[in-house]
Amino acid sequence: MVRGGYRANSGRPAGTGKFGESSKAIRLPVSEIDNVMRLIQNKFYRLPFYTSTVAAGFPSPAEDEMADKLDLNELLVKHPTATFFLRVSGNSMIKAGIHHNDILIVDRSIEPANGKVVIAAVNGELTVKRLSINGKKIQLLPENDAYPPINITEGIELHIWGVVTNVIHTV
Amino acid sequence: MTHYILVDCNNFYVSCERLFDPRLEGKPVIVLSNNDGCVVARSQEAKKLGIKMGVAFFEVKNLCLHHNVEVYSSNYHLYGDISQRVMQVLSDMAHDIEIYSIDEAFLTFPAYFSNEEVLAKCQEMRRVIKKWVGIPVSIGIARTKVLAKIANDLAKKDRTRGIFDLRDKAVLESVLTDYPVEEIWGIGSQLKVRLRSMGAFTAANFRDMEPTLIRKKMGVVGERMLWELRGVNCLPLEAYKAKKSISCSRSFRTIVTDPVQLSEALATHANTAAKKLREQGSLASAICIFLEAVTHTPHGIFRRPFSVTAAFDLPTNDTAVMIETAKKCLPAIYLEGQQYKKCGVILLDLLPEDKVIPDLFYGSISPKRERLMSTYDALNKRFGKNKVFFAAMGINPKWRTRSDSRSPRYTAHWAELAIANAR
Repeated sequence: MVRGGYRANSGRPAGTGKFGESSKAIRLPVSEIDNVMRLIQNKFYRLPFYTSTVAAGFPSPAEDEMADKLDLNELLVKHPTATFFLRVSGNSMIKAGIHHNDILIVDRSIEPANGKVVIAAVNGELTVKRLSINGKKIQLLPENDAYPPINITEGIELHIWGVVTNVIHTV
Repeated sequence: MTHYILVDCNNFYVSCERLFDPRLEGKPVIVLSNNDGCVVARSQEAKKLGIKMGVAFFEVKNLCLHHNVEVYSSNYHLYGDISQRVMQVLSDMAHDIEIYSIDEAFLTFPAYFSNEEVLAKCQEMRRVIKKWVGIPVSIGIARTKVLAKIANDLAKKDRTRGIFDLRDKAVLESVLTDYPVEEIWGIGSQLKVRLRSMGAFTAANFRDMEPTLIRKKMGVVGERMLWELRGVNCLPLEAYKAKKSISCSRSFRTIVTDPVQLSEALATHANTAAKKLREQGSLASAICIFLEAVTHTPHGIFRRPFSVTAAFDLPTNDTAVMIETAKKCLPAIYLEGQQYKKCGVILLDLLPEDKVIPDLFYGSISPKRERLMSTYDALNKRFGKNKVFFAAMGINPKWRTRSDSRSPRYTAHWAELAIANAR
């Protein structure tokens, strides 16, 4: 028996693999493999999205214009997996435009920094304050003169839960 | 060789509860199953108190009172939402993913990734999930799924690093030599006995046995496990498949004897199952309803199952048809005087909506009914679960599941958002 080489009618018929057409081996720089694989997957596995099911008759001339609707999520939620909504209780942040009963949009993926309004876990509670980092001095500042700042001294455990990006306020 | 990774959330339900209630940090916390029956999740502190997984709550109630253990009912709205976030982060970062359960996923990276690259990616995943979603995870890295499961188990025991790498030959050898055979994924108590009788006490013993012998004694499943331990991958990732059957069942709050209450409970379960069915775009060909009765005797509790299956005239996803069929079936299995503890429905023989052939005599689903069902789903989605419902489900059911101490549905209801204090 002959070993190796071409055997007539062996293997699967051309074009019946997972791509539905003939494929070809190519040489790639290793650093590009990821990008190329991503491209291939997008091309072959992403389903087309149709907004119209009109089978007969005159298609609506507005169809092309209607695909885009404004979506508040797109505007307010940049990182859906890291974004949570919290309800405000109290008035200590009033000068920052944060009122009692408002809804806060909190993005946990943003790094907390000096001057950002944050959600902090202090003494087992979630609290909303402005973070102030001045050298070694760390404070949680209210935005209302009637409330004192919280000084983060040794012995107080401070855990920044997330960074507030927007406020939803009912007028 | 492909890199196999298992990511598992640490004490998942407890971690979800802690996320929105920092007061629970460092305290013993447990979460109970449906009906507050048994313990399904424990914090590290609760494990140290000796509270075992799956024990009935009443057995540890005094212990919990004595040690101020925080006790929660299951909050599946919350756990489901957090789980989706974790899985989303993982599928964005990994090459391929199989979501194995609410808190576990297998991932792969192709062979052209170096060991160091994969390790770095795992560290990054762990960091991002902790920071973005707020859930601690443990990660096991290996060459097969069975080995990844072992690696994950070891990662959990070493919480400081949270990642265990079993790809190094020497590390693998020393781990398998000490690893008890019964702790391997998929080895139940029966297989454990069989393996021990053959002289396999550790994973290494099992791995070094003759594959043909294992095939004879334990079938192809056992042989696959053996090869996986040798680093030969036999269990590839499984892609999401539409379910072949859908079930919904619950235990009652107390014993139910009244057929009207049973019928209401069945209608409610049929309604939930039908909703799931429509969500995955399938039709069911048949429905099975079942009841479970309990009898207390001096020898213990006896459970008696009753069930009946009925085929629909035409594959359907219509809630009304399912409720009607379930109600018609009930008299066939209902016995007066039995003490019922549980009931449920199973939808069988599911097929995709677009693959249904219209029946010559019964025709196909009327577009009117289809529209009614999609309006029904849309209303309940917009205005809240069961805002519109079938009267057959009962107006103020007495049989409802008990969840006395559920935390707020922080991520699922506007009225139950976590509070940010501004005081």
